[in-house]
Amino acid sequence: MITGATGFIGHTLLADLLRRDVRSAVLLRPPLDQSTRRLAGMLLELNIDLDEMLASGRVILMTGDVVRGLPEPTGLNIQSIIHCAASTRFQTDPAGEPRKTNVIGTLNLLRWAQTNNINDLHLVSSAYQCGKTNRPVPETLSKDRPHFHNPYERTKWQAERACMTWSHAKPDRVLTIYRPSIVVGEYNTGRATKFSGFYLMARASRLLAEQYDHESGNDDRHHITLRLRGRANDRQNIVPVDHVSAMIAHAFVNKRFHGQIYHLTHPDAPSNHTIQRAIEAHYNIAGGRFVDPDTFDPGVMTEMDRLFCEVSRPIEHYFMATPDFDRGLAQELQMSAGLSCPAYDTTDLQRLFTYADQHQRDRYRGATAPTPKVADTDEPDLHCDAPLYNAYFMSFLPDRVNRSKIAQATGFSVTMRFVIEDIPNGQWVCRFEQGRLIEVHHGENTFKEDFCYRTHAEVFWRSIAGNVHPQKIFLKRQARVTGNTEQALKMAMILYKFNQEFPCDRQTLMSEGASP
Amino acid sequence: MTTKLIREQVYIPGPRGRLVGELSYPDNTTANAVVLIANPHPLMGGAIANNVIERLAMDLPAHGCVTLRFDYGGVGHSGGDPIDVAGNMRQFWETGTSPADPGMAQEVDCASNWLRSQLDLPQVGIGYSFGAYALVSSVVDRLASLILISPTIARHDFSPLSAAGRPTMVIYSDDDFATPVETTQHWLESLSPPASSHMLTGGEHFYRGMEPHIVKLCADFIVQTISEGGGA
Repeated sequence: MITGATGFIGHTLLADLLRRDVRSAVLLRPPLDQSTRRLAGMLLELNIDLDEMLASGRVILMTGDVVRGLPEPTGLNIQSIIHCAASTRFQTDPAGEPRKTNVIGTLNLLRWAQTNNINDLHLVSSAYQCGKTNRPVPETLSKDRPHFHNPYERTKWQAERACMTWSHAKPDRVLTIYRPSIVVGEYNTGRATKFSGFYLMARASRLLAEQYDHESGNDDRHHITLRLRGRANDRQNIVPVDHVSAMIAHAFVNKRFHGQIYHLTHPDAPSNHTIQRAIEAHYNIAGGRFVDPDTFDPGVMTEMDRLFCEVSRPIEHYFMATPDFDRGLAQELQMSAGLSCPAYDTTDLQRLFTYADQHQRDRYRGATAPTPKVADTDEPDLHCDAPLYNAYFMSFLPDRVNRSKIAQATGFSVTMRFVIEDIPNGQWVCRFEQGRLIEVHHGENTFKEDFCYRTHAEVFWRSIAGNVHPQKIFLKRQARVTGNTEQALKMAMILYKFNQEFPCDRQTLMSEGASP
Repeated sequence: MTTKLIREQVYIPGPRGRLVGELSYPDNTTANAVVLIANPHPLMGGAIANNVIERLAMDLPAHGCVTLRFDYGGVGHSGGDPIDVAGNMRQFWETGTSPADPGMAQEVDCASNWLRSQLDLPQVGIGYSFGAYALVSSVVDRLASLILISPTIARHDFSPLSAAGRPTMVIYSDDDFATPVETTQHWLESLSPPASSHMLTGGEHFYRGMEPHIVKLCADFIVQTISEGGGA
């Protein structure tokens, strides 16, 4: 079972495990249909078809949450847990994060593992659980409580301690800990789903560059006076998510690597100077300089200095005091996997910034957010083509139903409501008599329907194109039914036949006069 | 998490043409039973990819079973004319039964015979919804034990069940559209010999998200009845 599968590392790791034929139970937060759509979108970007995985039984979905409640014991015969779920908030927020997820959630998971007699635990921790230190950090658990830069580091250390206590309680329990450093986008593409931490400095630089963009004719952008607290030769230990994921997946499927702690850190991380050059080249600015923290005078900060300090404060210690991580065990794992941690030059770093600029938004968040767009497709904006939905229900459907052989043959009489949840005002009531559509009403109203289908735009378009069976959509929880379920399911069969008789897509509607 | 499952596509002679099914078994465990799984009605999503059918077929092998699921004639890749929705739906809309029902029960009979010719192991039947009727009406005498999930007792004749006297387990939900819960419970009380039963709260008829729990109930029942020597 894998937790945190919709997270940055989690979904990448899940894809790697599936490529290695590891049958995986995925713990997803309720409501399951939304989490499933989110995960499906993320996996699709990694060329993994979640529907196919579910159909073949290689992925099993479980509803639950390490904080709010894990599922009841099941008959799934789960043998291992990979615990990726984590909060990466550096400071404590009003909801109690990061402690709630990182510590309480881990303790809940350990109790669940005990109840379900699961003895193989893989914890994705952080290299920075070591806190403030000038000494090399070993690939072992620190016995002494370190001094931490922030609550995040403390909670990761506490989670490791809790897991270690759990593993020592019984001889057959095995704990493997992975400690990545600062995880950034895929090496070759820059693809990431999270743009905090390391990306903050680039974001601050973008804001700065945008100021110059708006001041035409100003060539001062190549002579900025920005001072950055830090040493030019210090390093920021970034590692690409695909490397981290591949290392964990390799360790997971090879039992001889279980029971150890691995620093998934970069052996030759880029220096602050290299990163600065990459950022400046990317945003077409120049002139920033690092100032040794010991000699940095905060009393004489310029407005630009303050802007940078403000944005990058949560991470500034990571470019001032990067520990030296032992990598003996990680190196052994890396060699066995035939992997190497790729080096970063300015061009490689710029790929990260390019991707972040193009995708910097929470694409997968929000209860009613549309299904994420998939790279390399040209899917129209769901909210921009709202008139097409009306054209379908108010024009296409009445015309075609009244010509449909299947509708006439079955002669059903029913009133049904369609709700497309991610479309503004997206509901229509259709009243059928003897297989003919005699009334359609758009918008909220008080009509009493026999049943209601609720789904999302992406599912709706697939369905009316005849590409997917509406019953399957329901059984796969991509649609909900309220009211008379039996009639709704029978109607779904009729709609399937109807959709095959009269398939419809955006082009069809536009060719009949509808405009998006 | 790493149990290897062997999935084999199989072809079964049927009255309307070749039935296409899938045999599933683990590669490293000796099987103690074969499980014949009968699908719900094709007009209500009855196919081998149904959520409950699929989970049973793929997870029971880990408990020492060989499973067979198959599509009725005209469904999926099975031979025969595609199901005549236009011709069947009017009656099905009104009654929940269709003129094609007896033919599908006959196909369950064919699948059971084929399975017996391939594997000399106790045969357990699992019928879901309409599939429960199809099993009971065709092969109940030949089964070591039966599991009926949401049996459609308000629509079909289940009287052969008592006459056969096989160990039986019934799984039903408290909000099943096909059969009111009181009807199911009254029917259970009338069975002789009695059947064990499990009521799942909020399962509707489709048990979406409850599939692992159903698999566990079925696995426990199969292991118990087979170990008690329920071979037939």
